[in-house]
This record gives sequence, C-alpha cells and structure tokens, in this order.
Amino acid sequence: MENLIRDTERINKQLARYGVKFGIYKNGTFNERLFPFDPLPRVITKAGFDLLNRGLVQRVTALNLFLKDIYGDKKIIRDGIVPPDFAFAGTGYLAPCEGIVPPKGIYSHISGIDLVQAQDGSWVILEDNLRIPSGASYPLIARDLCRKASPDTFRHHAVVDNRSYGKMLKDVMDYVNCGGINVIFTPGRYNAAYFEHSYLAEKTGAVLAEAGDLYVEDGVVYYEGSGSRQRVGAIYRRLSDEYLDPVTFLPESVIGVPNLMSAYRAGNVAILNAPGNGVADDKGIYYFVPKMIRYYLREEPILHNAPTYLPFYEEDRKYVLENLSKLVIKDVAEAGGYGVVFGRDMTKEQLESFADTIRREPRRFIAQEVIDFQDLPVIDNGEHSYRKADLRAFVLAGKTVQVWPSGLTRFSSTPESFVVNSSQGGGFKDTWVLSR
Amino acid sequence: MGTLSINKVNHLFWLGRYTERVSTTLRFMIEVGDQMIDGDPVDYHAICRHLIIPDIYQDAEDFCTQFLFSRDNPDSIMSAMYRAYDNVIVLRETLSTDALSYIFMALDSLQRAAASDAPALDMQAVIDYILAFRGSLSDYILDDETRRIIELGRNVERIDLYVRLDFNKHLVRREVSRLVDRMYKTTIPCDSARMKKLADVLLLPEQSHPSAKEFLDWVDNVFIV
Repeated sequence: MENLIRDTERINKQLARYGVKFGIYKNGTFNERLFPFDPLPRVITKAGFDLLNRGLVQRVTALNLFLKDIYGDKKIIRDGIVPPDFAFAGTGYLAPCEGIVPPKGIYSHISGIDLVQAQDGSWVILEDNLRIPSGASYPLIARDLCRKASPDTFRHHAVVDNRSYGKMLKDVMDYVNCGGINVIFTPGRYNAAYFEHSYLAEKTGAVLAEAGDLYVEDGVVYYEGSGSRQRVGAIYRRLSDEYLDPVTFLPESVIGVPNLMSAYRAGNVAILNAPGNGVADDKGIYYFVPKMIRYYLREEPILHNAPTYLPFYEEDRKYVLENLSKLVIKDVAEAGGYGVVFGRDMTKEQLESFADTIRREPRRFIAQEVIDFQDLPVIDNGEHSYRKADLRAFVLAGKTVQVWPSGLTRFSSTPESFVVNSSQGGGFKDTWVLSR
Repeated sequence: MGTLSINKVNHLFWLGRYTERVSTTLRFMIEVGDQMIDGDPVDYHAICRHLIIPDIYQDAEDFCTQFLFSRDNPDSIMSAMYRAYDNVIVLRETLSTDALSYIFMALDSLQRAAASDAPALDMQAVIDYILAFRGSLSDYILDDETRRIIELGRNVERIDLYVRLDFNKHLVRREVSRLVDRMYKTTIPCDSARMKKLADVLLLPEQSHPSAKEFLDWVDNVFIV
C-alpha cells in the first residue's frame, strides 16, 4: 500500500490526463470536475466476495422475476406479498410497459446494488439501482492507471483483474441483441456521467449515439451514419425512462427517439435496462425485496436490508413517529443522495413539522435505523483519515447473472458526513477482490 | 463510412480545424513573444487586420495576453483550444481514450502557460501534444475516412491561416494540393463549384493566385459541415 500512497499524485495526474471527470450543475452552470480518487483500495477477501456474489446474484435474480411478474401476471400482488399501493402508485411503474416481455426475458441487465459494511463485517444492502446505475467506469480506468503508476503493488498482491467489465457488458448486449449493432445512447456531453458513457462505448465497441443519430422506421431502429444507415439490435440507454420516447412518455423530450417503444414492443430491439424498472428500485419497494426472494426463489435472503420501516403501515408509522430523532428518513422519489434526512440533525420544531408531513404522506417516505457502518481509511492532504464509505456492486444479467469482481467504493467528503454521493462532493476508491 | 454519424463527421472536421488553429497561431505567437523581448515593436494592429479579428487590445502586451489566453475572447488561442476540447470529448469511442489524452494534456499545458511568467515552454508543449495527437491517430485509428476528415479540417484551417497571414504562396499551394487530393476521396458533402476553383488554383502560376477574400470563401465553404 505504501507504493500506492507514494504514487497518489502520479495516479491523479493520469486520471486528469485521460479526462476522468463527472459533470455537475451549480447555479445553472455546467462544470466538469475530476472525481477525487483515493489510492487506498477497499479490499474484499475471496471468501467475502464469494458470499457477496451469492447474495447479489440471488437478489438480482429475484428482482428480475419481480419485474417480469409485475408487468405480467402480477401473482405477487394477488398473493398479497406486495401491496398494490407500493407497486403501482409510485412513479417507477410505467403502464406503457405492461405486457412487454423484453428479449430473453431480462429486465435489469446492469444492476447497481449499494451496500455498506457494518462494524461486525456483515454487508447491508442500502439500495437497488435498476434503471441506469453509474460508476463502473471509474474503478475500471483507475485500476488501469494504478497498475501503470504502481506496478509493484499489483505484483505483490493477489488482486483479481477487474478490466473484464467491457467484455462482460458487451456479452450482455450481444446476448439480448435482436439483430444489428450495439449502441450506447447518451443524453449528450452535458450529462453528469458522460465520461462513463463514452468510455464504456470505447470498451464495448458499441457506437455512442445521441438524439438525432437514431430513428425508427417500420418498427425497426436505425443508426443514421453519414454514408449509410445501420440496424440497431441493442440499446444501452443512459437516459431516464421518461425521456426515452416522446411518443410514449414526455412529449416535450428532445433527447429521445420517437416510436422507440413501438420497436421495443415489437421485439425488434433490446433496451438495457428495460423501461419501467423503476417499479422495482423504488425505496419503498426495497422493503419487500427479502419477501420477493422468499416468494420467487423459496430461499432465505443471503444479504440483508437495513432495518426499514414503512410509515404506510400503521404499526411502522407509530414506531417512526415515536423514534424520528434517531432514524434516517428517505423520500422515495429522490435520488443522488438528496431527500435523505437524519432525525438527529433536526430541531424539535423541524421534527414536529416532519412528523406532520409523514402523517399526511406516509407512502412518500421510508425510515431506517442509522447503521454504524465501517469507516475506511483515506489519505487526506497526505495524512491518514477516515470516511464513511459504501460499495456499489455491479451485477450483470445476460446468459448468466454475474457480479463484477470489483465495484465503486464512494466515500464522504468530510469525516462527519454520512452522504457518499459524488454529486455531494465525495470521492472514490478502487475495490479489490482478492483471488486467494 | 461505417458508423460515423453526421454529428461525428462535424466534430471530426472541426477538431482538425481547431487543433490546427491552435498549433499554427501558437507557433506564430512564440515568434511574436520572442520579438517582444528585445526586438522591434510588434504591430499587433496589422496582425488583427490580417487575421480579420476585432482590434480590441490596449497595447502589444495586452494583445499577447488576451489573444493567447483569454477564455472570454472568442478569437483567442485559449478559446480555440477549448473548442478543440469540446469536439474531441464527444469522440472518445471513435478516436480512443489514448488519443484524446493528448488534447487534454495540450489544454492543461495551455492553462499552465496562461499562469506562467515564461509561457513559451508550456506553449511549445501544447504544440508537442497536438503533434503527438496527430501521430496517435495514425497508430490507433484504423478507419481511413475518420483520419481523412480530421486531416481535411486541418488542411482547410491551414490554408485559411496561411492566406490570412500572407504566408509564402508556395506553402499555400502545397496545402491546396493536399486538400484537393483528399477531398476527392472523402464522402463529406462538398460544394462542387468551389471544389473545382480550388483544384484550378494549382493550374495557375503563383502570381495569378486569387485574392485572399476569394480564397477564403472557397476554402472555408468547400465542405458542407
């Protein structure tokens, strides 16, 4: 590790050299920032990863079955496992996706599952991201650059090479491809994750396309080249459902492809991840994922959720209102670290006001016990320090369901902060999985 | 042309133009900077006139600073460098992360030059990185047309600047010859009348060259991008 610390500046220079940035809007202005990289990796032992692997494969398999069910037979609703209020009242459920079975029956091809490690070393799932989870590109390129800047480190540690992500992603795209080229569809260069879009296009050999490059004719999607057009068989879209197709969703969207949903419905193109996946990664639905695992797979969950309460249920609401000051409350409609409030940080008046909001809109929130999760060491201005950190694990579902042997470890910007989101000023680390 | 969209063709062409604009004008300004150390006063009014840019500078020193490094001045070399960056950033999967890195380093060097009291060395580094970028294209880009489009942009910009700065006609003809050779091979839509006029320049004796205004009209509008 000493080598990596010594070589921090060289590694960060390399990250700047290759334009490893993320975009952020502040006061209406777009800025690009280097994503601060900490050289000390999160290290996961082989045994630890084996457990994570089994738990994550189990969870994503169940979530895919839930999506198939919810847009199909709805047995889980009829059997009373998930209340219809939670499945259909949120913004994640999209009626136009009803009855559509995507190519090969896969809905969540790339799942980003956020976890933290409790003080006893056990992993706790915080969130499932089944729409357009970002972040794989950062540890992917960081590993490449670290190996150049500090080869001795990798000579002396048995670290599983994580640079297969591009191939894993390509294999998934190829598997569901309906005939034609693979495309990564980006909202454009002013998107926060544009670096990732372009980098993954390079790594998978897919074509990076924007609105205007794609069009639908007779139910088939084409990429408009300047010399000729090419049929598109799979689209890894990096824009939200509502902007995908102005004919089906938001009519004012100028970054989508008109009639894309009709091509998708006809089975002529695969869309990764499937539109409508938001129904399964709603913060409210999260509560039900362990029940889904038991229901669909008849197995006990290997990985556990954080203790979660739904104010929607009277009993839980009572507990939440009585214990508001020690819980963390999350607005189910928010993402990116926003809409997260710690009761301990609120004044008495704020707590009372918040309690009223919960009574009025119980479906809007979930409450969780604050987990005392492990801090990870970071180098802060040359000194050792500690930060809260999570892990986004990437699970790819194609011919098989596989966990990428790495992941994005994000850490908070200050020792006091519990928020690890990059848009809130945090940094990232590589995630090592040891091979022995 | 495979999978190049119209947008990408546009970005490739303008990437060629802006990188050429940066390198040619930087070379020129390194000489101007050298002259300012102990040579004759620099006639920056004449430079503005030749480049056909607004003469908004207070004195020669202000011209050097603003024309080189001001981000707010659309005619500056810094602005051209940022335009090159804007065009290359959307071409990562077309040109490769390795090739892009040379443009990122060129921008970084120009920013360092702007903050330095002896900027010529970092300015030289900008030129070096742009040359490395061009070399990397030969190594990394298999598709002839992708390379050709960047080269066409570069040819067009070079002729434009050579004409504006009244470079030796022999140099101008050499660039026109390269352009003509490439433009008959490309699939970028061209204005055929202007194409012919440019090709005909090579048949004329040097003393019968068209006026700068005519030349600029032909070369700047020959490609429909």
